Amino acid sequence: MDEELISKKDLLEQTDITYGQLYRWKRKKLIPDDWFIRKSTFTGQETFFPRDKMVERINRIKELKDTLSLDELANALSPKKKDINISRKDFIERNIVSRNAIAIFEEQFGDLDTITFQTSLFLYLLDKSLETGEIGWEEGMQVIQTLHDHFSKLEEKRASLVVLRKMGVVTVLLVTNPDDFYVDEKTKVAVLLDIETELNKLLDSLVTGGF
Amino acid sequence: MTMKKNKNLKVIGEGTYPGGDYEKIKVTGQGEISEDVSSQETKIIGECRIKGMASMDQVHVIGKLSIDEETKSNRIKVIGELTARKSMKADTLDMRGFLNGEGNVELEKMNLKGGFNITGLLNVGDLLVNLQVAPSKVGEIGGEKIVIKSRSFLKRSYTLEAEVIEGDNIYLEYTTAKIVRGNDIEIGPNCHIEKVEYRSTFTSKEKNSKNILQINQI
Repeated sequence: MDEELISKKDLLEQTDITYGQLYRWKRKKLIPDDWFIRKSTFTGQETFFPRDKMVERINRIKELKDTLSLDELANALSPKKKDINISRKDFIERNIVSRNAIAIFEEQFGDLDTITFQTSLFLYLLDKSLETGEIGWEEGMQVIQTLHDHFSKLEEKRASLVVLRKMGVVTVLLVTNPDDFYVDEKTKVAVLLDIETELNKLLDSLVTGGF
Repeated sequence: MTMKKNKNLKVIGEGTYPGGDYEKIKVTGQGEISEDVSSQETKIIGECRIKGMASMDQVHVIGKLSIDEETKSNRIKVIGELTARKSMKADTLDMRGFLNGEGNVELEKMNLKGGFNITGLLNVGDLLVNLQVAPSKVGEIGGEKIVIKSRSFLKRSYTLEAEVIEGDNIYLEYTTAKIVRGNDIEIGPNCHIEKVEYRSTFTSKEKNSKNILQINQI
């Protein structure tokens, strides 16, 4: 992740907020903990932030904070809690994910009635993995099971979905804060998806789909 | 979960109990809860150790409470000692005694008479500490209003050692810190601060000017 960083001091100056506000928003989970990046400088430890994301988030909070309470804001900003329920029919008609992805999901967890935001994210990630052509039905079930079992533990951390293949055997990984990782030569990285990027794409397609 | 909801847990004497979902937990004596636990109301007189996560709405402790995993709560009142071995998050903490935090501590309001030792970040909206009992130590303090003092008629004063203190309004006494940053900063007696950065106002009651090495307005 080669993002441009901004120091806390510069950030506060640029966005015109105070330390108190920053800490309050952190407590309210408006700013994810892993955006606080600790680095040592000549004055000791300092906190840095990913510049673009942070400035955008703060402007958004400032914009919304007069109309919404901080708790409502937390809901509006954290995608996990987004309140969306889409019927199965609409979901297929809008072509957000392929029928295959839905079929795999249904085989694993039974028929879908309405699709929550989280489920739609799982489906979307599964669909993207299938699209690579690297994984098939069985592996897809493994992916969806992994997401189902462990996704809640990721909280707001930055994470990636990784599928490794070695001599036909598939391993599904959910990794947090992945910068880079390397595998031995017999192992192939079949799928590598950054969840946040995919999440934003999903949101876009949901919005354009009219939800 | 081994217990159903609306169950109460009562420990009188000594005992180890399973975790689960409780309405009320009352420990008189010495209790140990071996897994994750949640409750509406928790009262501890004596000693209690929770070997898992604790999510407890109202907590009253006279004595000692220690939690091995994450702690979530609304109101905590302690006379004695509170130890959180992982992060702790609550609305208000009202305390006399000593607070140990081995992770980050997040509170909206904290009123402490005593001392604390927190390895990570103490993030408090409204912080009022009267340093007593033993020397205190903290990695970082961040918040809106931060007041650290050490006043007592009979006993001697104790000190606080911190890396960074950042807040909107800050008042410090008996504090050693590398950096103090904020809008309005007031430094009281017996402080040793390497660097102060303030935006609006700065006042110092420190008589020995060598105790604050550098003052910048930003």
